[in-house]
Amino acid sequence: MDGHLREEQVVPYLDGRLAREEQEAVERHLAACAECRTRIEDLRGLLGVLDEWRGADVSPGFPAAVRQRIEAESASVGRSGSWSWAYAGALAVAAAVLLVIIVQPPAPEPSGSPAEITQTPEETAEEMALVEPVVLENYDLLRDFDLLFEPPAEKKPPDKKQGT
Amino acid sequence: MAAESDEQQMLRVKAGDADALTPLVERYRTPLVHFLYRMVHDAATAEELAQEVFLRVYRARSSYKPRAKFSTWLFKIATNVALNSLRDGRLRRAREVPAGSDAAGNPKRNEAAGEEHERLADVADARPTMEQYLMERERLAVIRQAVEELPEKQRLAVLLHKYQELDYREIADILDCSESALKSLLFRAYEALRIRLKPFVANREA
Repeated sequence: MDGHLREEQVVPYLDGRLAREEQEAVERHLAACAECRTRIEDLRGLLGVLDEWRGADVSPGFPAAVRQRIEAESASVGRSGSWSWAYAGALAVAAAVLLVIIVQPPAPEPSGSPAEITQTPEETAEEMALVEPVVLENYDLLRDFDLLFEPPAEKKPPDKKQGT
Repeated sequence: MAAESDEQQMLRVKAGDADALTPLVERYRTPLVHFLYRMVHDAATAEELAQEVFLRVYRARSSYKPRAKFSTWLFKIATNVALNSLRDGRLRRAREVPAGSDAAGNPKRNEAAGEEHERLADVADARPTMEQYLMERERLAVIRQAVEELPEKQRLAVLLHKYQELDYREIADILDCSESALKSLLFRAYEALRIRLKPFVANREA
């Protein structure tokens, strides 16, 4: 092994996870290199110091708390699912009502002054014409249809008496 | 009949068997709370975050694919939960109470975590003197501070390697790096700690 231990060799060596050949090569190097040997010993000591920092105790009720949170979430999702369906249903009904209002022609008003009720047939026809205007189909054709128009009367030229 | 693997149990959760999560909670609650505690330095918060991690596991059950070990997936979620919690600043503000901070707002070195105080107090009767208790307290606070001051990725690597004992492949997956890069990262982290904790290391060797 040239030089010193490589960075990526140090921790696996401390963990005893190097392949056998590499492990033996590192040990041969350590036997000959005081600098690397000291570093390895210091790091081993450090790992022992870090052991002093223990984790926190877990409360016995932890699994039950997790279960409760999951159940609460499942129930909440269920409720929100029902709410969504209810909301969608209400929206559909509202849309249907709106559609009926738009499409349905205005119903005659049930009450009103007699003047409004008694309409002459002419007035009714005019109103109907406004509501349902007559559509002129093939208007272009009809516009040029000569028979619809009375041709202007031809003026006869005044009789001329030929003088001698 | 062979016991079901973590991955098989998680696949049962995915298939709709919510009870299959219980053995996973039992198996991982301690390592998970320990990991989160070392990240956030508060036992109650660590438990709350651990619950959140399991809740996220449950929420993500339909998308679970056993491509990696279950523990890798779990600790990746835990890492994200812990980092998000730290980054939102609430925990940091709670820890940096004025009484424990210097003029610049930095926590004092002798401000040990409250939970560590309590645990030491529990066993203080077994210790010969109050002086020794205070020395132990100070010592733990310095160790904790040294780890906390590591760059984020180095800190996570140390916690997952030293305390959770995950293998290199798992840690590399969690930290999104190669195994070779992880080994170098760990070396640099332990080197930094060796320098910061030199007096403790020297005393231990003496």
